[in-house]
Amino acid sequence: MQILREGDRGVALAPDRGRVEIVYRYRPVDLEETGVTVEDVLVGVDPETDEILTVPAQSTPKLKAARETRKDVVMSVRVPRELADVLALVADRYRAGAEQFAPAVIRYYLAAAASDARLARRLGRLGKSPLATGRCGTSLRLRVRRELHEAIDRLASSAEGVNMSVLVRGAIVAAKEDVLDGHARRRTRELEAVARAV
Amino acid sequence: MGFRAAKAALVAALRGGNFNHEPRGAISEKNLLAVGDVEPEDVAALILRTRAIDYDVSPHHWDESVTVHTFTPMAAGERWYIKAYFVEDDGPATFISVHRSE
Repeated sequence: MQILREGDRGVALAPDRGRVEIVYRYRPVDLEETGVTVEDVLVGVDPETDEILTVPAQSTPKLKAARETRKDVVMSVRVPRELADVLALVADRYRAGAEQFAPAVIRYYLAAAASDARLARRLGRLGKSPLATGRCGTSLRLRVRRELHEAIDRLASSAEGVNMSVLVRGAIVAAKEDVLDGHARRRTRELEAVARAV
Repeated sequence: MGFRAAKAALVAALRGGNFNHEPRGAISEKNLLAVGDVEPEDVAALILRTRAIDYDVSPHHWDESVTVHTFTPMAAGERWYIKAYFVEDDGPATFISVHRSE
């Protein structure tokens, strides 16, 4: 696959003018149906009119990512302040920034629970443990894929006394047990990979 | 460029990543290849399975010397609509549409 660079030239068709020379530039582009504007997309523009005439294949992942982000759901979950401390401690254990790593840790547990009934039960149980049920003095904002949100919703509605907030709190307590208390080597290794990726 | 040559050229362009998309103002999300809802290899497979009866050509509205190739193959009970052209014989393929028929 040839990777085009800003300033490269090519040929495209322009309305009413036929073949014209184009130059590749980074521009914001609009997606027609959703109205999303995607910034910094490499496109072929007519240097005379600045009209976008082509979008090269290499720009597709950016368009796809913008549409995927739109499909995300932002969850807001009230948690005891101690659980925020737990997330900071877990991030610190991996020398990762808590702001990026903490949501990734929670998503990791929720996604794993979606396909692991035993882990789902564990999160439900831990989410109702004393550490998770103190006074909720802070809130977490968590962006998740719509598919994952639906899976968590199904998990929550299939268990007695469990809702999505309980599962999120349970995920944080599970991270404490697995990482800080050293209960699960496999999960610790997997979270290390997550820490490197964020 | 006839049916078989158009098929071969478009499949080669898809597999080589040598293609782009024609936006008309905004980028239509109905071009499923442009927005990443279908992979180039999927589109190549659709083109390869197209029968001659499901293929048509027409001149491009903006330049009548450019031939637009339209493939409308059936796959899994759905008809697809794939429209593409080459501005230059040895240049990239340009896709106008890649979507299921409405």
